[in-house]
Amino acid sequence: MAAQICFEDVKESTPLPPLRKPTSTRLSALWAAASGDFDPIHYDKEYALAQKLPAIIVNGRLKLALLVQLVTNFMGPAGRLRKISLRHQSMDLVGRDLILKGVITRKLVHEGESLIECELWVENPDGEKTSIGSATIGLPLREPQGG
Amino acid sequence: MSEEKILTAAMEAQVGKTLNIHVMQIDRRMLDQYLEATGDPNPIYRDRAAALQAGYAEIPVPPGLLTTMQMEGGSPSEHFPEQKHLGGAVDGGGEWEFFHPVYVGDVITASRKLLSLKERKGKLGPMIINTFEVTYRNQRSVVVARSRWSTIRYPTHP
Repeated sequence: MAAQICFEDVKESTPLPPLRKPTSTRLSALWAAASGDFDPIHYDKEYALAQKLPAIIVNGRLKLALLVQLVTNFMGPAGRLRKISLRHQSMDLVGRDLILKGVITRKLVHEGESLIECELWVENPDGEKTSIGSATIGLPLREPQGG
Repeated sequence: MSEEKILTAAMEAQVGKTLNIHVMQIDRRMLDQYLEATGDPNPIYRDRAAALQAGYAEIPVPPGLLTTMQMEGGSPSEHFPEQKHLGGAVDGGGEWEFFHPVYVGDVITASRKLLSLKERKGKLGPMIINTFEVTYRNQRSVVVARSRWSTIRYPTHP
């Protein structure tokens, strides 16, 4: 398992390791089963086109779940996700990759907990931000050194 | 068309009320389906020893699992008959707070309330912005998470 990242290890403006996720109709079906959201605009092309959408579109909650994964992978097993927010700017079309990114924006101690705040976003392969959000994460402090 | 109003008194009467309460036990199959879809490789969701070492009491579920629509009883429109005639909902995003870990085997009760309702005029004509608040409690009545999120609805699907 990767070494635990600690509060002292991180700096403001440090990027989180990005995550790239290919999308497909198969993924849309897996997500429908995993999330219980069977809105056909996310897997039925004929239906999506009839709704005047350009193609089947990626479920917004899947983008949220992948940003949660981006954050939880970064914070390590002893980190704790406290809060995440997301708003959608534009649609992601199934078949195009999602690129999940984040950057640390602030370090703070609140009610005795060491926290970092991050800006998060989803990019499409053209580099456009399709969803923007933020997260607050609790990170452990390093063990006190010696004496 | 531009004069069309879609907000009704019957819709407004629901503000502040609980739309639905959904009870769901988290089982291993749910977690596995979630991990397959997201591809999350984190061992704490599979290996009990790794979970304990990370300070959890059991195998936890990813916080993202709580944000899935099944946890709050499906789309809100199924529980909001006053908006049944409107088109499909567009996800307006929101925020999710996590207070305590949730484990495989936990029974989560999600209570979804209509927090606010607004009508706005957009490029596509009138639209309604619904904001919901969902409170998630475990079997010990501990609030484990809370969300506030919105949907945008049009007279017909955009």
